[in-house]
Amino acid sequence: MTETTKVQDFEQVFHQYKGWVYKTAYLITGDHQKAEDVMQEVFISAYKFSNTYDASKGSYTNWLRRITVNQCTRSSRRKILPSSSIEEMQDNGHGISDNSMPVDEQVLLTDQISRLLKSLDNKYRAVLILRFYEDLSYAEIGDILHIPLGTVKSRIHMAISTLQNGHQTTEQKETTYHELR
Amino acid sequence: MNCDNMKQLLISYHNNEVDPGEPDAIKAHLETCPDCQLEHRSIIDVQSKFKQVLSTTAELVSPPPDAWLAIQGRLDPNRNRFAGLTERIARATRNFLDTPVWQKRLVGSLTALTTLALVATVIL
Repeated sequence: MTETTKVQDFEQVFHQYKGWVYKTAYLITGDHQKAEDVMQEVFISAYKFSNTYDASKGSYTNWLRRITVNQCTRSSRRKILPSSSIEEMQDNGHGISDNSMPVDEQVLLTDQISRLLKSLDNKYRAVLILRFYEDLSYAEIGDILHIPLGTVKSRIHMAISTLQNGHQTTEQKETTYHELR
Repeated sequence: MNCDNMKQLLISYHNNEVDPGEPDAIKAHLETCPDCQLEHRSIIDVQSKFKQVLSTTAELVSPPPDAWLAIQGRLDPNRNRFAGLTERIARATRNFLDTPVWQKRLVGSLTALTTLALVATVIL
């Protein structure tokens, strides 16, 4: 099989996984340019090192997830965190998805949680994205990130507590503000 | 079971990640402890909102349509070696055009100063 044919075959793999690789990379890095660069490096690595994938050690999807998170960690040495609010995305021509929550509330919530996420280190963000976006179990996350189950638990605990405290503080501030008016 | 070690357990409990046997003890404690009930509701609330934000954000972003061309250009030596580079230059140009005017002026000024410095160095 020629190199050109192999690359043509790999295009199917790319189209199958490009969506979630990009979305996951964007959620972890919070930056479109970085997500695009991560996606490119993920597929280049997946192609070049395809012979190192061992099906007996886990699914191809989890193998790609591991590459994605590793690439995100490399690309996030310069920290860029989510800056796009839903309003900015609308301005850029993206449509609002079908969602039961009113748009104003979504914008407020997105900005609030994005700000809270800024306080988290990349390793906590990766665990949160794998748990709450990818819906992976603690054991799967530990396997992908090569960290013990206890570390996954403590990172999720720390991250949720940070979000919870920040969220409560913001809500309390808003309640106090409305009470004072 | 006391309230001090309940918080970490409640987060794992809500994520179905507690050890077998623990759910019954946690449930029994929750039924009798208003503080932990409040804490549990707060965990449910923040996790649910967080999931919603992630899901909404993810739905709003998608890879650029020309992403494959850049990858193909780097993978296949028989293709134009500069295919990926062309895409990157095009994207960088688009990004530059989207940047605020003050940033463009700053980049322009820095480029002009660097050029002047280089010319001065060559002449002197």
